[in-house]
Amino acid sequence: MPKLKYDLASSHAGTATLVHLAKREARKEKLLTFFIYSFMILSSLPLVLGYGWLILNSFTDKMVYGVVPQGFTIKNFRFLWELPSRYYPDLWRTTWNTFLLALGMTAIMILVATPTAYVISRMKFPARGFLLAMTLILHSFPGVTLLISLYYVLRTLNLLNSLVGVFLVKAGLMLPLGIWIMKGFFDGVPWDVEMSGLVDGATRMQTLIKIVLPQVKPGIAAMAIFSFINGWSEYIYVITFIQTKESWTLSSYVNSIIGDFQFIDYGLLSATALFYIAPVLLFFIFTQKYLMAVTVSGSKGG
Amino acid sequence: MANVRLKNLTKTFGSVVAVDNVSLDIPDGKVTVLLGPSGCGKTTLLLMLAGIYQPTHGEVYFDDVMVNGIPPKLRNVGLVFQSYALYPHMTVFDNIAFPLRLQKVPKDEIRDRVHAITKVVQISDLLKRKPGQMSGGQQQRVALARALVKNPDLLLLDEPLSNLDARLRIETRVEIKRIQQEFGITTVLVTHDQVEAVTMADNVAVLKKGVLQQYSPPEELLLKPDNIFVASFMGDPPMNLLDTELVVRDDRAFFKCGSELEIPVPPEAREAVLSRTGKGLVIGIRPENMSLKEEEGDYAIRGKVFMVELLGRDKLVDFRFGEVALRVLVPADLPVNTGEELWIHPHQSRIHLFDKENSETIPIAV
Ligand SMILES: Nc1ncnc2c1ncn2[C@@H]1O[C@H](COP(=O)(O)OP(=O)(O)OP(=O)(O)O)[C@@H](O)[C@H]1O
Ligand SMILES: [Mg+2]
Repeated sequence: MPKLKYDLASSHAGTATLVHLAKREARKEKLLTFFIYSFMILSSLPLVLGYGWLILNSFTDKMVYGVVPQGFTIKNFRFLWELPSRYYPDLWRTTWNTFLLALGMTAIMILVATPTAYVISRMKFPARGFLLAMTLILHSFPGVTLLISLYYVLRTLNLLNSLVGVFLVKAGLMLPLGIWIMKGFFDGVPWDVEMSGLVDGATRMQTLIKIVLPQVKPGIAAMAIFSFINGWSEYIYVITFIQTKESWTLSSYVNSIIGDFQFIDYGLLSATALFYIAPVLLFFIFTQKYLMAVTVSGSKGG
Repeated sequence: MANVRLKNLTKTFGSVVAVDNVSLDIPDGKVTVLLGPSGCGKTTLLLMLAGIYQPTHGEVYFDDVMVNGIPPKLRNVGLVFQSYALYPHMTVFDNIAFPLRLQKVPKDEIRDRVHAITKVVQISDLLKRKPGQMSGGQQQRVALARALVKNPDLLLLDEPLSNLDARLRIETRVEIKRIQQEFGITTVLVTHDQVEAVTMADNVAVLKKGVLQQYSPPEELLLKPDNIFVASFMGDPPMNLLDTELVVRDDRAFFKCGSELEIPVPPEAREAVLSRTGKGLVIGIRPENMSLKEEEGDYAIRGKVFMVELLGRDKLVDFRFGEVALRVLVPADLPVNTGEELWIHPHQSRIHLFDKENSETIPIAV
């Protein structure tokens, strides 16, 4: 018998007290929920307002005092069919580049991080602990500190101004995290389920494909989404390593709109920014339940 | 189907010796039970038979073929894990069909075989569920079905009934035994439940800390335990085991236990034990191997009832002789009252004697 928090025997009106206590607990709980929600709403308010401003701004002539929208228009989106100036590369080409980088990140994370994580999670080999520690250390380097040295490396390899260069750098920096996340998922698959597969007549490969991978699907999905978004929104390496306009991605595009005009056209800036984040937002809305799996934990019920 | 032989089998995990130099002959078509307390190496031994663990030393033979290093896939064993180890992402049907699909059995035959086996373990109505949506007992039966469906040469069961209720346990026990006999599957069953061991087994191997203690048919475990461990592990309520010393007075020999209890030595046994005078001994008498009477007998002991405990059909009568306790099992309808003085009659042929030093049995020919 677990010990009761409140000693009922000592109170004369046992049940009455219990009802009273239950009510008090419920009230406490409500109050707590109220505070939690208030805090979350307040802290996310700046973000929501920012996005709201962005959307309003991109569809209006001007914002009076910077906040009151006036005059609906779509002329801010004219960059979709004409170049803002002749110095700009083709928008669709740029979008395609962005998409390629995002897709490349997704592919390499799935193809490299998944099998690596499986091996690290399941097999004993020399220097396994060391390798694990190294991957973590690698990931904890702030990417910015490497900018200059990476610039020289890429120049030596003749990979400046190419998406491949950025892709390799990003893959190198992201893989450790992906491996760690996937290792967590693989660790969550009980080994006897795998052994059961072997006893039932499967090879190691069949066991991996038919028994283990289906159980870490949420992890793979989450990692894929995460890397896609990460690749899509890459900024610092793109603007540092890529100057040639043919290899721009959307972040360089938006960046140059901020920088190039003498006086900033906020309408155009908002519209391009919206164009840039819209796919990611849509993508996120449709896939967020998979992404949640990473934070919630590695395993799920049947 | 397969006769399995273990030779000097040892398995260590780091510094832990899980299985220690075990040699066993597991006869074809029989049920062999591995019995022992938690952590004694039963599961480890079983997984070595399945080919999941590689022995550190020693060999495993299937029909005189050494199978060390042969992967589980090629051994055609059916294994029920202690934790069931069902595939969580598959339905019950797919779980059971999995080994057959790997063997490329035709679809129709898979369906028929799965349906047949699920009827036997009474889970026909659960085929569309996933493991997460079932009770522990139901999962256990799915695991059993998955192991049986492939007609294994060797069936390995790691506590397959531990999660079933009493009635279902008896039914499933009978069912396993029936299937096992019908197909003559060599079966190794792990349990720490001695009733299960005694009812299911043709032979029982008792393990303690990885070391084989005794390997014999179940009735022999009760009648002729090889050592103190087996004697104390088997039997419920447990055997009375008392530190004792042989004393001879007025030409009569006694086992003297503590300061107040003296158990007369029957003349037939005297020859065997006299040489042990003055040495450390342990005497063992099962509670059911003594009777209580009003009248004296040749080798009876007078005792005063300290406590009476009712155990369903029997009652356990507790006698105290100073610091030494002696428990006697009698039918529940026998009138016995606390404080009463009675004569305890040990059944002479059921007295066990052990050497205190190495805890092994000392044979007393009675
Ligand atoms: N993979 C492992 N690594 C390290 N030690 C292990 C491993 N597996 C088992 N052991 C140890 O080996 C010993 C025997 O374990 P085993 O699982 O065989 O016991 P068991 O008899 O099946 O117990 P139970 O009745 O509780 O299932 C235990 O001391 C256990 O801690
Ligand atoms: Mg076990």
